[in-house]
Amino acid sequence: MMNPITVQNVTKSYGPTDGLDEISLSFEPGTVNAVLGPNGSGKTTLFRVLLGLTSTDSGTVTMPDVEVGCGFQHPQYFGGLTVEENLQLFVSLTDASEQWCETLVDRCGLERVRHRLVEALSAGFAKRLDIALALIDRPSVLLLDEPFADIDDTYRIQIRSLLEEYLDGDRICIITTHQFDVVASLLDTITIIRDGRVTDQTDVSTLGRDSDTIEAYYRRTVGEDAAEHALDHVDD
Amino acid sequence: MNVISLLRKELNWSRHRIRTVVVLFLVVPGIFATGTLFFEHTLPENSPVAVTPEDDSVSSDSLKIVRGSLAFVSNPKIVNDSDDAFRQLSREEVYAVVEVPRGLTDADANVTVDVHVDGSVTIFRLPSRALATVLSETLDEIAPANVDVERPIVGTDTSLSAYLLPTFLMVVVMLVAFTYLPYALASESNIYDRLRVKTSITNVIAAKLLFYTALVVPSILVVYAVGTLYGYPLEPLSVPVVATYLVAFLALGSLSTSIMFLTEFGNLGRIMNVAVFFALVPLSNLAYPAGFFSTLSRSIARANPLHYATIIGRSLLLKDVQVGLFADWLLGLGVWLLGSLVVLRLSITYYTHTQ
Repeated sequence: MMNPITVQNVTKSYGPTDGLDEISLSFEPGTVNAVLGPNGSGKTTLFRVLLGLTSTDSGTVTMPDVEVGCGFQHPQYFGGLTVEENLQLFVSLTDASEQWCETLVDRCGLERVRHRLVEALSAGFAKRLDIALALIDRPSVLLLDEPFADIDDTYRIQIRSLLEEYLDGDRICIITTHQFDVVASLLDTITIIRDGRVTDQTDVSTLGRDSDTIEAYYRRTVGEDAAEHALDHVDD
Repeated sequence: MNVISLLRKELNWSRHRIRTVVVLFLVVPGIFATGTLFFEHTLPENSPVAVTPEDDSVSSDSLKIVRGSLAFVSNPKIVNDSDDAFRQLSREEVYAVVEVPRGLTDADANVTVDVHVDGSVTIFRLPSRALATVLSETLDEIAPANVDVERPIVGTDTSLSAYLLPTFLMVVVMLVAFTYLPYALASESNIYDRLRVKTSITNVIAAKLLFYTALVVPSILVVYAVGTLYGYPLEPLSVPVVATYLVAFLALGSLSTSIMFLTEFGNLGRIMNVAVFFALVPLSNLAYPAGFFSTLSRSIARANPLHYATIIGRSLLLKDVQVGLFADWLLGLGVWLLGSLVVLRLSITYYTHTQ
């Protein structure tokens, strides 16, 4: 059984915003966890700390010793390479399976652009490639920062379906998003962060898995103004 | 008014990029303006020249007379060992060896003073004529003996085009290191976080530097092939020549990459690299002899590893000399490369800790 992800008393300050303030969290194996909060609340900083991309000022982060996949808010890829070349690079870097790579190309709808330079693709294709790269080596821990932004409705459903199938067993997934309608059915827990602090954590089974209920809970927890501001930025 | 609004927008845009603007519009012009000081003199008043005795019987007074005669047009030094003087000529540590015969202080003696210049250092050919003329006129006045000054050429007399060939090659190496490499780094910087999760950023950069270093080899081959095609008297292309240019590229590439890491791959880093490129060209005395323009420029060039890399490349391509002649400099280039890699490693550490 894989160990949980634990974050204990982690502080990271950059300035007035975007930091973490004595934050403590735990994400159990076999769960899909949403980390929600207004813009600038510290979600991306938390992701970067979990990925080891940002050092902490204090506190400890314990990650299980397994492969970690990540999807970034701003998709990360080699723009000067084709979709195929990007995927093949990460297949070779991570010893991933070619067959799984083909599955991702198919499920993420990248087949017809696989030989095109990524820098020439639309934001939606780029985001789908980012998700494929996040999943390329079948990571046991998956961190997705706004994974459905810029993706059209058809592929939102298709990629959610892919994640539903993928996130079985012991895997841990942490998602930041404001698109509750897409992720509601996936979630096991919700953590609300505001001003770098955990303001609430809840088990989704106690709330109900429909997006309206989750959105209402979110608005209630962070306050109407902050929720409205964050949700205004959701790409529909 | 529209124009006022648009100008205000330009002001705001620049304000948000104040570091880049300051470097581009203040620091770079300042560096170039200061750089013109190095071109204050157009005669090689400070180029080092060796004064050496023809044999052991030459008096120190004779050497001092010649040294004094040369002081206005060069930076002469007495080298008592003639072999050492010619060794320094081969390494461009001195640009002429003035061989002093016995009898210079003997009245009515007829002597010939030889001003030996290296045939491959074409750029010093004209100045060496001036040097010989000044020496001849001065010795006519102050030396008791009747003095003839001759100017024998050591080695093959190389054309200016051939002389510049290795220099252009070094400029190409610098151009790639300070412009294309930073561009490539910046254009891929958006994926470094993902790469850091899946591999190490050091591996990524090492692969990139190795790849571009390998790309320098075709450049060397092309320059060599063109030179050979046009009949320049080039020495056979050897491993030490190629290694010298590759080491220079790797060291310069490490420096430019360090700048990119320290500036987080922004435009500032690219501009700084271009500025370093433009500063290094004159400060390395790639083509002109050290001391051609000023004592300060000579001191800077002599402290600059690129200056030595250029001389090694030029000498091994244009002269029939053994690589062992430059053993100490090659070792120095190795140390320079090692230092550059250490700086790069530290800059990567800084980058990863400040993200």
